[in-house]
Amino acid sequence: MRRMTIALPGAAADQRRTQLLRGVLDLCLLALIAERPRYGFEIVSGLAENGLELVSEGSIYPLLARLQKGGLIDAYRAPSPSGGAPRKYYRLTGEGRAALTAGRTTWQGFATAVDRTLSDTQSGETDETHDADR
Amino acid sequence: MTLTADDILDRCRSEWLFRDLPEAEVDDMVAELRDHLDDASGAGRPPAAVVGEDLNAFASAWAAERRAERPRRRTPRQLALHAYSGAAALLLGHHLVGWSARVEVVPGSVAAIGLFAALMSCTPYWRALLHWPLGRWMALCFGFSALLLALFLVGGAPVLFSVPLWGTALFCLPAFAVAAASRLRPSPDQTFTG
Repeated sequence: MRRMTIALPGAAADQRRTQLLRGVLDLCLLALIAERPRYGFEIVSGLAENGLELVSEGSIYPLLARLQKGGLIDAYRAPSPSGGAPRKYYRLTGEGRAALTAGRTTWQGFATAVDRTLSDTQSGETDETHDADR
Repeated sequence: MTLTADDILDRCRSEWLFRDLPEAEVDDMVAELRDHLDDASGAGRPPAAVVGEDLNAFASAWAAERRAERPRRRTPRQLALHAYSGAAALLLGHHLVGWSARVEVVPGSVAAIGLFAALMSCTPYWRALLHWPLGRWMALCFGFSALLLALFLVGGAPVLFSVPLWGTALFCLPAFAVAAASRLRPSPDQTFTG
């Protein structure tokens, strides 16, 4: 079999990142809120600091509403450290903490499996390249 | 067309109100979105970076998650309510415009009520009312009027039944009672201080 290199164009790579992030965005939100209570813009900034840029920042709000409806987080209003009008902060509930722990375990198992699969494919490709070179 | 932060807040507010979210909840969402838009603007990011390219999709997605009830369950109730208000308006309109004490209900009337209920329950009509340009608005008005006229031309006979004035009054009574009760009921936000 010939070695096939698929170079993803920038847009397709971005789309893949968006799809991957969509699947774990709730866990990322829970993890950021678990560190300390945060308001919407702080959550988006936290994601960006970790290299997770959202296509539209506001897409966290439907998800936050769902997490709140599910009892995983709750919200309260408090003045922000920079002053000004009170902000709406989100904090984790006990149920949210348990969901985060379970989600982390699931993610680690999943990421390891994907990593192993991708690494195996890569070594197979290398072997084939060696065979072709020989 | 580039929307400003105020345009975005205005559109989201009307979308959420028309989606039957309680006003207190709408205020809370608008305040949260305003804070985010202000912060994003301070960081040099445009409003589109916050709400994305499709503002309606953004507002709808958020409203769907905030609503306690699923929209599918609301549709039959909405259809019934809109059909009732359409029928009441049609009967009252006939009495007033025709200045008669009796309304003859024809198949066209029933079709018009059905069409009104379907349009009001199953389409985002408020976007047409509030955010459409004048040309599209005019097209909608003429189109709808032509459709109603066609319905009455085709379905103008036979007379299915006739409703006397007291029948219309009796039919509208529950609506008046509900309106009066909601006016008399104190608002949940009302607080009493000694």
